[in-house]
Amino acid sequence: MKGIAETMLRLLYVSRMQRWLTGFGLAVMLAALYVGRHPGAHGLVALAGTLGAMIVVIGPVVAGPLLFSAMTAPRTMALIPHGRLKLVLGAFGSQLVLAAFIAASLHAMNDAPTVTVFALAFGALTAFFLGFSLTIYYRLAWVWLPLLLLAPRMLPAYPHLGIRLTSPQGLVLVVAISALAWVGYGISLVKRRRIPLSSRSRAAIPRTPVTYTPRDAMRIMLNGDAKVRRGIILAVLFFGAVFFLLTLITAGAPRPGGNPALAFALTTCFMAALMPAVGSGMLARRGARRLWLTSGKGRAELFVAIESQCWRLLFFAVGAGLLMAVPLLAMSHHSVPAPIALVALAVLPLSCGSAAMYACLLYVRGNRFVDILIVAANTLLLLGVAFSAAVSSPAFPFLIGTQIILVPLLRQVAARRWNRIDWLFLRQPPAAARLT
Amino acid sequence: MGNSPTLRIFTLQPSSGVPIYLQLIQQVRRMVASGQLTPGTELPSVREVALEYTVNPTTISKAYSLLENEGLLQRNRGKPMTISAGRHAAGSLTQRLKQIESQVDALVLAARQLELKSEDLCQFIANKMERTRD
Amino acid sequence: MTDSLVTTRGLGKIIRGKTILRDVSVDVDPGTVVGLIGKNGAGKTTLLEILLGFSPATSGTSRLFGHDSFTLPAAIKGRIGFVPQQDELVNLLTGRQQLALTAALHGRWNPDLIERLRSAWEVPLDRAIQGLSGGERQKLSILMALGHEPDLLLLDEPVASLDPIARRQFLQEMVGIAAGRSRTLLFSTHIVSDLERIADQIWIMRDGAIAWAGALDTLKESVVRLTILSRKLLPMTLPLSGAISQHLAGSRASAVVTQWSEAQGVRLRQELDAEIEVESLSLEDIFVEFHA
Repeated sequence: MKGIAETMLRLLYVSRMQRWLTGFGLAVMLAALYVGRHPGAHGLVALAGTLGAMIVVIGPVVAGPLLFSAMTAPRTMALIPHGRLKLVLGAFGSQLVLAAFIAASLHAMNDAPTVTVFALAFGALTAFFLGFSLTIYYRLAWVWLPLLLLAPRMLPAYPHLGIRLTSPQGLVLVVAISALAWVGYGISLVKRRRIPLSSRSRAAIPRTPVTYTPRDAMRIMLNGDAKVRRGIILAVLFFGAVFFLLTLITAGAPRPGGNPALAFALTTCFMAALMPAVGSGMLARRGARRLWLTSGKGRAELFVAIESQCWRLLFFAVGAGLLMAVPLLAMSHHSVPAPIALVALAVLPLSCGSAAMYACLLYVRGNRFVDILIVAANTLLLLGVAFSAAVSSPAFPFLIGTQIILVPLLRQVAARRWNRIDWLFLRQPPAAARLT
Repeated sequence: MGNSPTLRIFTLQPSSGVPIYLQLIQQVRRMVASGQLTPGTELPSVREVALEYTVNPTTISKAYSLLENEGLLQRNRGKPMTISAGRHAAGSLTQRLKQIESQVDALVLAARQLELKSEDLCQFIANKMERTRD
Repeated sequence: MTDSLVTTRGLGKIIRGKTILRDVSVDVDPGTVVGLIGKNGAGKTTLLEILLGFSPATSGTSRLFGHDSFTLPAAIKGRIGFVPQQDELVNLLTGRQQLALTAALHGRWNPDLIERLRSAWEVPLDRAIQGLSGGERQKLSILMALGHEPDLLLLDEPVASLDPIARRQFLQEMVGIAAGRSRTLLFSTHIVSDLERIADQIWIMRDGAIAWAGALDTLKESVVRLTILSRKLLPMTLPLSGAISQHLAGSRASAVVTQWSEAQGVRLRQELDAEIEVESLSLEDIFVEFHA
């Protein structure tokens, strides 16, 4: 029992930073609730409350499956009696808790029906968690990320599906399928004799002498991977295709609350910006250590090199995203979007992505309160921008303006931190500790 | 550059309490005294010894220098070091006794602990030497 | 008198209130092989990291080739090779690609040296690094640090994952490098017997401070175990300078001292009217005595 509870807690409190974020989000939620009781409260408060809830939930949802696969991977786990079983039960429990939390908070904020939300949230979380855990060995796991944003959008886009799902039979079906999926996954995990290494042993690479230019060499050492661009293209292609399909299906059907195509387009570009920004930012912090001696660059030079690397990827990803989004919009509006719309569509992911990137890069002093505050506040702002864009809220220009102003400020902080970066904090833990 | 025939005549124990250079010096002295190394014999170079026994070359170099100062070794420019001729190969009595001083110390200490008398000990040693003469 | 390659004065490092290094002042002369030994957590890795400029010192100075460690210029970095304790290989590349990357970044590279070592050590270059064993990864790390023929080579536990044969091959290679007299090596390791072979200077680290720094030969000659057998009762505290430990039992005693000399021996024999047996210790024994 203790093992299960521990696993649950571990998956809910992914890291020390997440504990702070959870506290922060809960505080925002409670504040919103309190203010909301007063007469004259408006939608912005509800928005803040919802965003607070999202901050609490996003970390465990996104990082939970990652952590779970890290916890199940070591061979020693197979030796602990019922070790894997406890892990699966813990994971199951954690998703139940998350779904319950989502239901409770949406009920408190918007008076949403608890049971419906709980069942649907549980279904979505299950699909995400299990899908992610299964595909992580094939390095395709990140494709599940956009599905998070897709799910709540799909319901209004498919009113018939929505009605059927939210009916009592539909809910029972969702919960039943999810539960069965857990059982099936649990059995397959426990029964697994050989834990597959998370590597694909490809065929041998040719023995011809390999040469790189110093610039390419730096890039690869920073990212830890030679094929980052290909990954980005695949990701963007993937959810571009998904949205494309959906738009085709819903084309022409007017629906209340705005055009889903715009939301999809925004989501595509948004995700296209965020993933490389955060991903390359995080990789760069450690990767730069490899370059300290070998490339001969000073700290300030390294920062500039990393920054330009990340920007290059960001532009690339946003470009790819736009390539998907523009035809989407054109199709649904039956006309080419206005240039100003395109600019707006590009500014959003660029600003959010670069802000996220600098927030990531400045987080090099370990878990200091100020840094956590900055990252949390930026995340909140980011979500606010995305949300208000999707619902075409009047707060949007204000929020995105703030985000744009923040970018150079965050850069300053990051640059200053890098001039004194202490790579002792960013060493990998010894191999033994990596197993636990 | 073939292997010097004298390359493997040493027994160096890095883990001993005795520094490597001292071990080398003691062994060379003993081998010269016993006649195992005759004057003019070439010794392997510092680098060869270091690589063969996987030990630091500085310590070998130190040993060779000290032996050269003692007059036991002779440096020949461009060629390997050799045992020097024109010296009484056996070494003076004091020097030879000094070689075994640490063993004698240990022997004396053990004898004291066993409360042996020095006359008995000396007789015992004389008997041993008599027996191993041939 | 050549300038020291590595100089630290009063180096200190405090992390989250805990003192990791205290008042470390050492020098490394060119052409020497320095061995750094200490228990886990004694601060060896931290010292190396600060020397190389990965981490800023909290107090004191650290200079490499005459330049401050934290802001080493590119030219100096090109003359340094480092084998970290935790390898920094890129898992998704093959060994060949990883070496090519390092070669591209350094500019100067000796492919013949790398190939000779690689085949002697049997490091597979055409498999993804992820699939290599710990020992193979370590060998690859070492290759990466040797390729640009650095003047100063720092190694943090380079042989921890190597089997005895691989270790011996590695040590032979290090001896070969040291025999050239143009390179300087600084090793940190647990395997004390390896250091006894190839180090000429030893630094013993204990609780973040340097407990002893000097030539290995001097260390072995100064730190000895004495067995004292006296004809009369011995005083409670023996007149020994630099004693690490002593045990008394009536007229017998044993002690470990760190500044032994012949003169002290003569004086002691007279003063205590005793027989003194002097036993020299292996480096491992010395290390244990320092932590007794």
